[in-house]
Amino acid sequence: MNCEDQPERRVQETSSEERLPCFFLVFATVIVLFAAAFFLRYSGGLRWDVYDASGYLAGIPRPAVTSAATAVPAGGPAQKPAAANPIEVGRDVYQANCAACHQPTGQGMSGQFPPVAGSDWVNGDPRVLTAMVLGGLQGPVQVAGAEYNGMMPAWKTVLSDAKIAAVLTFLRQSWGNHGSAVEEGQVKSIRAETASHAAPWKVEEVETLAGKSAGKEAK
Amino acid sequence: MAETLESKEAPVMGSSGEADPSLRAPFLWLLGPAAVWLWVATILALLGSLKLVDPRFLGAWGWLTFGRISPAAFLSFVYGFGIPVGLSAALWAVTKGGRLPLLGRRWCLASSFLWNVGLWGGITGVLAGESRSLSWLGLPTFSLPSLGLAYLLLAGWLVAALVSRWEEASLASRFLLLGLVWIPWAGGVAALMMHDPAVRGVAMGSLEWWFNDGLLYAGLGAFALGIVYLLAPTSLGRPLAFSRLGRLAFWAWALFANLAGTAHLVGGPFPLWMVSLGVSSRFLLWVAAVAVGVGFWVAVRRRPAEKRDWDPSWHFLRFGMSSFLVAAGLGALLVLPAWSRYVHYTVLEEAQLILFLYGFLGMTFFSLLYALLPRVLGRPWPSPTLAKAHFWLSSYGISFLVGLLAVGGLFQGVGLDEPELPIHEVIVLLLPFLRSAAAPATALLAAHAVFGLHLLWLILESGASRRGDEESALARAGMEGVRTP
Amino acid sequence: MTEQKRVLLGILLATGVGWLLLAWLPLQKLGPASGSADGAPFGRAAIGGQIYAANGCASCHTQVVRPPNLGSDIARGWGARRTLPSDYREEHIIPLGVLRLGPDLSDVGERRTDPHWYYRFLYDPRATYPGTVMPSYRYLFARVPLLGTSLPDSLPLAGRDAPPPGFQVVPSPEARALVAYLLSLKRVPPEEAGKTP
Repeated sequence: MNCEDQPERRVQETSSEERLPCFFLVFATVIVLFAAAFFLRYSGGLRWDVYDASGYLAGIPRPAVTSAATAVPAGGPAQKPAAANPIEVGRDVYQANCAACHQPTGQGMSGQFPPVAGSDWVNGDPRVLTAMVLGGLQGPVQVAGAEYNGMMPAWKTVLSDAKIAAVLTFLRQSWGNHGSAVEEGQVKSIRAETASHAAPWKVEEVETLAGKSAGKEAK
Repeated sequence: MAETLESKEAPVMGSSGEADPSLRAPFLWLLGPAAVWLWVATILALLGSLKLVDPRFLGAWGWLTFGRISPAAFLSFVYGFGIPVGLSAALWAVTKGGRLPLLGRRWCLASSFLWNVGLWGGITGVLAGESRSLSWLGLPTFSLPSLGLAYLLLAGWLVAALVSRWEEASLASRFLLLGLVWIPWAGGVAALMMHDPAVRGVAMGSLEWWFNDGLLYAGLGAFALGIVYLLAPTSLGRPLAFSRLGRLAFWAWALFANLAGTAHLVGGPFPLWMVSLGVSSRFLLWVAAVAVGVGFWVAVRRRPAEKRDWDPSWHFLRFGMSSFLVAAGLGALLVLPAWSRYVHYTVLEEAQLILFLYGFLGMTFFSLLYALLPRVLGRPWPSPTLAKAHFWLSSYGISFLVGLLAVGGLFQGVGLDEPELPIHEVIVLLLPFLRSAAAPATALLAAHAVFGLHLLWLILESGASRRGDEESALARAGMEGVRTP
Repeated sequence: MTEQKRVLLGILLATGVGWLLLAWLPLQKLGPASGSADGAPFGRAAIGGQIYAANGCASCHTQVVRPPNLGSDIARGWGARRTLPSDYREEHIIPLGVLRLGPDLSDVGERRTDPHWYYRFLYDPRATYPGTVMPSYRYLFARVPLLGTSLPDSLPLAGRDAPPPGFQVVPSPEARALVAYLLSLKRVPPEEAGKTP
């Protein structure tokens, strides 16, 4: 509601220089702004395959934190939760954004969504993997001995560098995967490097990003 | 009584005195069955409440199993009581407070007949286990054609009349028009999609909630707000303040009531933006509600204080508006994901629903009935004591019912959030509240019984006096040798 | 255009926006894979879904597993992951539910696999969980004379619930359909979801 909503000055209607009460203007402004901000923040990019947001919409995280908290010395409430284990953060990001297709177990769905557990792409060059997650992937791809032909959406507008780094670290170190951790800085540089590439990657294109040795392994 | 307050600036309900006699039958046909449905709804609700006190109550009879009587109670309240009262509010507005004669009288009677036949069939069907879903779309298929036809017969005519007798700047007509148009538009589409086997998947869920929230906010809620604007000139002695703000609130209401439904689906299988859209819409609806409320309370502050009688219409209206503001606020705050984690799927949400249904819609509708019936029937309400009893019983009943469910819902929510606590222990936490809720439910039944008796008394009395009038008129006519039609 | 026509048009449009965003687009984007009813539940489980709806099971039971940050559903073992649109893709009855006076049932076919457990439980919930508010669904069962040996599905009833001598209690077709539906509720692992054995 805009603030110019002066009262109707029809003589016969209200007797008045009645003004809108101040509290109402404040209330309306605050709530309208809040509603708009809420929607913008949690619009999930208006996408049909984003189901959860982390942060406020997610409410208070489940007491999985407590296990970490117990390890903290008694006098340490000043510790920043942001310094949490990237694996824990990555697990949350994965369950919220990726598990819909790749499944909570990382096994994918045969014929539709490739597995991430035991995938050479995941264990291989982090640069390729990061680029795929940032820009999405389209077209035929060979994973764990099976052919998939689908479309993975781009996540660069949805997830921050830190979250992508966390989820990649989680991916590369879970379910028997044994890749190296991915740092936020790496994601940032790949994001800058591939900023000009708008469409989802094709396998041939994304492979060109790889360091040579990793590219061979991925086959 | 309401009509004692003469008001110069009131365009709609201004004149005191009797309504056009041609209106008597249509109003009685609409409102008489509505009072019966109110009874049915309350009895079913009380039975449901007693079933929660002890599930063995009344045995294991399929027709009265909890899962059938509880939706049947809500359905008969909304379709049996709410919609006919909303329609009669529109009829009242169209005929300028009963001063204009009614043209489509036969249509009204046919519509009322069809509506009630369809609804009896429908509620019986729900109890017999023919329902297709839980929501407000739960009436069985075979009852829908009759209900739809009945609604269109009356509402089509009302919309045409409302549009052709349009009053510039009348917010009452706008809100009534919203209710009149929304229900067949959305209800028709929703019913068609419900019965199309090609419509599958979670879209059925969002469709249902679009209709559920829309029916409460854009359908019946709009009727009730129309009633508030309609009654203000007589009940408050002046129209609501800030009519331009009111118009803005109207548009916000019309749009966001259609989008608010997905707020129920927090954590459900829906994309994030749909859920956020619902949550944001709930907040904007709250702003619209407060905008109407501000206009109302400013008008109330300037209400002339010279009330001789205890005016039931005014008291019901005030209670309705208070519940409206609280329910709209709760409706917004409870769906915030941070709370929703605890309160979703608990009886706290039920408490908000009951506050909206019984506290806002029900009480506002009663306010209309207390103002309207004496003028339609040409007699004041026979007993102020009964009106008072009705008001106090229902306001205490609603407050305690809502309060008990709200507190119980908090216990339930905190319990449900604790994974170590088995579900039956969570329900044990909740049971004392659910069980004590039977007491306010009984008070509500008593309140509605008082209202029913009072209404019966009024109708009988007016019937007697009318017959008396007619007889004397006949006698006069006989003396004068004129044939009466 | 006169004012009343504008208002009328505005109302129609506002309602249309709601329908578009909350019904039509979700149907296109999250709806069934094809127009034909191929993957939809069929047979007994489909009828059981209707019985589930008609008896208002959803008054007290939900079928939504919320994500771990929105409640304890997963921690309670009601499902391994949050419910997704693909879980409901081919279903016509979507009993998401409104209230939890009992456990979530999205995954109940995974937790309880014995149909006889369901029959016994539906017949008299209080024999299994004393003090529960769940009503008895005795009306979904039939009492038939005991001829020779008891039927394989006859309920093992004793004490208060026992039928008179010479009779046995067997589930009616409705109860069988309902239990078939409940057994089919296995939304995890997803490869097996929605298919009736």
